[in-house]
Amino acid sequence: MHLGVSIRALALATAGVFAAVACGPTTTTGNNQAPPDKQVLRVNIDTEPGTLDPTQQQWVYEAAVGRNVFEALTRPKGDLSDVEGAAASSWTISPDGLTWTFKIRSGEKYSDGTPVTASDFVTSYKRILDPTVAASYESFFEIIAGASGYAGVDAKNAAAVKTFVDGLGVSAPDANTFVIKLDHAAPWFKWVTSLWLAAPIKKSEVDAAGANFGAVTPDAAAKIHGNGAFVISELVPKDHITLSPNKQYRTQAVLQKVQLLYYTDANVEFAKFQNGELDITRGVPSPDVPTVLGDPKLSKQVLRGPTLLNWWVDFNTTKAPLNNTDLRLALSKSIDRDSYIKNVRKGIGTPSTYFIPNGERGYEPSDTQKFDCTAAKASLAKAKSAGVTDAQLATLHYMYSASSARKVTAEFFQQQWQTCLGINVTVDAVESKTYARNLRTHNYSIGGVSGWQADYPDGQDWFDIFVTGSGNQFSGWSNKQYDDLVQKGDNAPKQADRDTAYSAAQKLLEQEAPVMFLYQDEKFLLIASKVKGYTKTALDDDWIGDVATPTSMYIAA
Amino acid sequence: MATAIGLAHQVDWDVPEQTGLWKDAWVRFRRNRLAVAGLVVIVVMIVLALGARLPATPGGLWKILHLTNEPFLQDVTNSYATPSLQHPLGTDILGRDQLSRILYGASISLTIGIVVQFLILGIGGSIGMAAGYFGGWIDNLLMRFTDIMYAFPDLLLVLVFVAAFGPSFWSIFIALGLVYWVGLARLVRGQVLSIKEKEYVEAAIMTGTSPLKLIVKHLVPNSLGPVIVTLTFGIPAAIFTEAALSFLGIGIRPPEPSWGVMIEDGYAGIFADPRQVIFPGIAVALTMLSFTFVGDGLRDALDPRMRR
Amino acid sequence: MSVTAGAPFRRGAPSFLSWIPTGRGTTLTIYIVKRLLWMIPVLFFVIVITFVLMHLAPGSPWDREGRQLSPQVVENLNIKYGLDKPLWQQFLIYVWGVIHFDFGDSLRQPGQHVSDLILVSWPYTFTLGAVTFILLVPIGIGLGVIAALRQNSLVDYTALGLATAAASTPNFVVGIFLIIIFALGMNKLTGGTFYFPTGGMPSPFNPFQVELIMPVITLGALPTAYIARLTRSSTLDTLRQDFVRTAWAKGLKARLVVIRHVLKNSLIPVVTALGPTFAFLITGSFITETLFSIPGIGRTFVSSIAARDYTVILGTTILFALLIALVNLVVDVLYVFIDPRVRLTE
Repeated sequence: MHLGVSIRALALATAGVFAAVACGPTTTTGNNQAPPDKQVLRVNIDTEPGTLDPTQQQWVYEAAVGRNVFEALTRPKGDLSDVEGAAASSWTISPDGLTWTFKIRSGEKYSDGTPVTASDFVTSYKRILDPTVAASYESFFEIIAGASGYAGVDAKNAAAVKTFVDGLGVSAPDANTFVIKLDHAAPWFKWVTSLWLAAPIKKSEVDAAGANFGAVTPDAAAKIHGNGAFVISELVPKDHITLSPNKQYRTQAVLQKVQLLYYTDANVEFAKFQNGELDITRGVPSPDVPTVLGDPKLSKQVLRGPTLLNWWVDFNTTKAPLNNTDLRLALSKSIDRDSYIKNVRKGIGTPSTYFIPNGERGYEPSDTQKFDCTAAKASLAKAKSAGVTDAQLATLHYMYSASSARKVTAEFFQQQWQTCLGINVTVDAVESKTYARNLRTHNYSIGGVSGWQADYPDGQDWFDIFVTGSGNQFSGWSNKQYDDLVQKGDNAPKQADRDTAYSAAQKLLEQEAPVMFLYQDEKFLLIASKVKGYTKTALDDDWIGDVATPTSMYIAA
Repeated sequence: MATAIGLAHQVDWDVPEQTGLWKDAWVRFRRNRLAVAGLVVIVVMIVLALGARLPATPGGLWKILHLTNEPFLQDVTNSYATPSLQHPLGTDILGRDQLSRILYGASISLTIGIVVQFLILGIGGSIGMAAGYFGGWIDNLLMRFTDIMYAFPDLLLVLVFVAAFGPSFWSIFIALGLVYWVGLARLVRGQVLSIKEKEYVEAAIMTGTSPLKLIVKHLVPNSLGPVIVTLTFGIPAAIFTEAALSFLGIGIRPPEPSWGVMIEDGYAGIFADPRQVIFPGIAVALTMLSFTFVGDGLRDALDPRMRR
Repeated sequence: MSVTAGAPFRRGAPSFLSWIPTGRGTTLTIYIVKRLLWMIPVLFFVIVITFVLMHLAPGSPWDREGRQLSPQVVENLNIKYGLDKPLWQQFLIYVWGVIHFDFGDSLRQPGQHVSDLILVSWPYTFTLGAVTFILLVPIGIGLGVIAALRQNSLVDYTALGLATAAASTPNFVVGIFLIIIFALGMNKLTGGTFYFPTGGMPSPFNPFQVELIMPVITLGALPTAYIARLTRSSTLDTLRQDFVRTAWAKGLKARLVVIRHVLKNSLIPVVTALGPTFAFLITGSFITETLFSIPGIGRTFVSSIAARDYTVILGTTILFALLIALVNLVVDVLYVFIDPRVRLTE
């Protein structure tokens, strides 16, 4: 919730390229495991999940349960280059790219021992697209044949809903074969099948619970069974959820208990870790980074590594004066990102003036928006000659979603713009919901910081953000050339063609500056020295390395 | 039960001349050394707060007050500096001088702390007084109204306020005044209810004293003690609530400092530098202590029973 | 029909005598029943105001930072939860539900009944609040009385110092300092053999758990300070009355009698303040619960406002309104027992 970026938390697998960066606590497997009753891992996930129904989940703290209790057809490979089989053992794609046939892994079972069948996937895929369920992330699946009409279905009309759901291109010709038909060929669809929300669910359980399916209640352990590595063994509302190994799963976890706790306050989390009440934190408050690095004990328990999360500041391009590209560039070029990272964020993150983060295909560092006060002044002069007046500049407001860290950021920007350009920007704090609504309705001039974390490491997930009319961009920017390039990049069958198109689109985005790129984030968290076998990739989220890694983790004796 | 007290209590109150009342009060107040000390501290704080707002002329009061530092000047490479000659109270995360920020923020925090108390006194005092004095259906309606005011979520009111009026400094007083009068209203009503029954008040009524005179002469001075305590406790409460409201967009805007906002910001780095919280906290405590002494002195000075 | 002074315009015997013979029980019962009935309009208006405010507040349950929901999903969610209907209809449906003790389902947590949510988190908050209150009353009143009896003594100034410190430190700072000193500090100092856990509340019903020590201090410091100062001030008022001064001069035995009477006379403002204090304590402090990871109703309430979880906002507000109305009723009835001259009248 506090980061509020994309679905985040994506699947991930074994040690990837970036897992290597994990310093300190990562170790090779050894035989120094603690006895089973000591195999308890306590993890902070910040907030209690809203639902345990994977198809309706949307936040990281929900994926923390969904991802471990359920397993989708595929999952990303450790090096993030492709997907590999998970609940599906293999799949084929028809030559026209429209029909995807998945074979369910033989012996795949739910934690109650019943087999996972292809029709369970039909149930969950249809559930995601059922307008009466109103699952949050249906848009990923609108590429499925028949699903593009989602917007036109009246959720109050039962007959219309039934016709729509029955007409979806998902089917189970036999118990082990799941077939998806697409509207048009899309090379990135493989990633969609790896999203944790597209996991099999038992129709009998959905039918029995009705509208209450997935409710976060103490009896959830008996009501929800998944096919993932863990099962929910205990649920104390508002306090914690305990996961235990799923005896039916193909690899047995060493950890006997994973406690998911809800500590929202960063200082509390930090205190709990130091007091030995928490094994993995979500982060470290940035003012404390120097303290942690200077502490002989804590510094050995730091885990840091890159993440596919990029932060930027939105400009409202629909109104003067920020409809002027040169002014936007001037504002962007006058921010000293190196100083921001080094002094304000205490070294967490990398200054970024690029869109696609380091670690993903398409990463191209660029100097277009680089800090350069002289160039910024020149851009401002250009903007002024094009009609931007001082009176307009005096009306600029920087809006941020109330939090201490963002306040410091706002004050830093304010000073930078004042120093370099002599522009006085007024700073407004607003509450999160108001902030979100103001961004969405273009009721602001400068807003920040917004970020995006990869749902999956494919350009489509990123470049679609800035397409005309996309709900995920708040700058109101519209550029025909960009739209065309992105469409080409999304749909071209050859990867090389996609890369070329995306690359051109990225350059255009940086030059047009509907947003000011700020920094690529970095995971900086604490993990107790007794926790071993922890690996993570750049795609991984805060807590433990998602699907596969918990099974490789253990508590050392 | 209370018979003994009731009967033993002799009405013994001759109303002195009005001028004498205030003069007497001032004499008694001056005799109270702590109260005078409190008053001096408050005056000094107000002078410093005003001085901190003066434009920065070289060699002027500004320079003396701020020891050459400015409250908004960032030096990000020098964050959380330990106290030194240059920065007597250290610096914050952006390297801004803490002392000058505390001085600069004083005017905001003091204004809010004090003005809000007057609002609360005005609204809560009159509602409580009316309810207690008139009783009957007036009391019932007013008290049910306070029950409602107590119960609905003020956080929602604040959000609606921001949406309606935007981040205006003045709306903070309305927001705070609207929400916090309730406790005082019930307190005053309770006091009036019990004082009204005292024989000297009944006697005053029987001799035909007008309600207004009765309230001013008997009810107000006799319910003063708890009211003053409540208002002094209201000062830090208002200072902290201002910070919470500013956080949500009502009140002051960054980079303006106030004591409450400084404490709130300091909390984020409390492990790294607890001084961020302690120094503005001391400023708040000093203010409250001064007002407590002044309040105690004021009550003693105005207490009709002390006037002999 | 409310508590009001015995008619000041009536002559004759001291007012308390005039109603005791009429039967305290009956008068009191009628009074209480009437006040209970008055809760219905109070609750109704609280619901109306809250309902209006929460819909006026910017943003909907579906607004969020980061990845946005598509307009179609928002529309479908509105249909799913009946938010597509006109506001007056939504209001009537809600009130109809409340009459039937149906408080709806949470919008943030589909399938979670608001009534269950409250039943689960309320005991934690209640235990914490009740323990705090039980400790607060004797400590606050005791400190206040001692400070008043020994005005300007060391005890008085110590109490004042503590009160000032408690009032001018926001509770999140009190809480985190307690954690740093008593949890982290002790742990470090004793090498882990002795320390307080930084939080948690293993059982919602056990008032004697170690985990409660720090939250109780955090939650109770300010109200205790306030009650102590209020008692002191009120006691001083009474002590200065002539009859007390006279009796005080008569020696030790008389003094004991006096203290009892003084206390009774000083309690009116204290009891008035204790009412809302109790309500505040048991409706939960969001900050104390957050700092000490207690799954109480204060957190549920504040996060429901942040999430615009309409049904949860209304459900918890109704609970709070009921508690406040009840507590104030208790206070008004207590007045009569403390000072019989205060009367219940129509």
